[in-house]
Amino acid sequence: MMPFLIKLTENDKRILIAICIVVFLVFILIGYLGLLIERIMKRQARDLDTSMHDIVSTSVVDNPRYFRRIAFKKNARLFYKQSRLSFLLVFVSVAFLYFYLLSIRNFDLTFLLDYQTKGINTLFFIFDWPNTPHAIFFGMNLPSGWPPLLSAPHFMIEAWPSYIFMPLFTIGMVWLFINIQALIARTFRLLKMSSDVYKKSLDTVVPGADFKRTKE
Amino acid sequence: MIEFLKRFGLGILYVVLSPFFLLILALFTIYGLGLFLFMAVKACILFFTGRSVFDDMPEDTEAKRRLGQLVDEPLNRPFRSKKAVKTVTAEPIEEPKEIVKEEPKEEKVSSEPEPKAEVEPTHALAKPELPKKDGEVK
Repeated sequence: MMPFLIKLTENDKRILIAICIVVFLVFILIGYLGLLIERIMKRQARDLDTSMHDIVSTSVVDNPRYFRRIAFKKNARLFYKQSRLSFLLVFVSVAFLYFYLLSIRNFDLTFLLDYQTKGINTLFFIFDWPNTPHAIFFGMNLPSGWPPLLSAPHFMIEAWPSYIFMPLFTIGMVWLFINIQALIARTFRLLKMSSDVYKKSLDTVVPGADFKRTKE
Repeated sequence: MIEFLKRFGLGILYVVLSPFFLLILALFTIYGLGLFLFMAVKACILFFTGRSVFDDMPEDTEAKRRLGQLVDEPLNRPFRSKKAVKTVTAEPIEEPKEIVKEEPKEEKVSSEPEPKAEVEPTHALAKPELPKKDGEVK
């Protein structure tokens, strides 16, 4: 290992350091992304607190099992309430595509991502990723430049079904996944709180505090 | 710097655990789809029986009653279903009345004569007559 490192030129060492920094930054970015998702999920889980607070504070629900049963029902209601529009978008887009394919009598879906005439990719930059220039570095074949451009954004009237279907479907699915994320957050929250709310601690207890004085 | 190192470690942990996160997401996606279909069918059935899937649960009603927030359902919430109205007990909540102690009245002893009560004026301007209708005999 050591003779191999000694053989490195100054330029190689610089590139090696640059790669290490990039890897370090990528992992830090993933760490912060995880933190962001965690915070979003904590905020989403608060919806359950709002709907369960009064029931718990008035002792209508007084044991963990009953709490879980009611909380699961409320969670399902919240999910249904939040997901109706996203499901509608997905349903409308799929129904539209189905009837379009039925009208042209061709159920081949590959045209949706076409970048030349009929797909949504006519609106984006398309790069020729397989022909990215490469260079040999430490025996590894690494990309060494930007790939050649295959297609620049251009509007094609033949692609109108893709322009309608793809945005509706994508928005609906992303929205649905956000709602499913909220469902996961609330489910974990209710499972945690069902035991935490009814837990008693001896750390904070005051002896005799729950008895009322009858005589002075 | 410690914060960055912590995030770096968590980043590695997230990458390692990402297949499990994706598995949980996939399972909840299937569960969510099933749940949505079930709730949609339930909402349809409840709709045709004149109720809504978002009506207050009996536990909510009981909690409101205990909190003293219970209000007259038919008047204040006209768009609620009949079920919600039925589950509510319409008994009014009596607020505790404050007991006011009666203080002994002090008898005023004064030499001045009491002011006379005002007498209503008896002259004609005090009570203006209504305009007579056509054909009415005085």
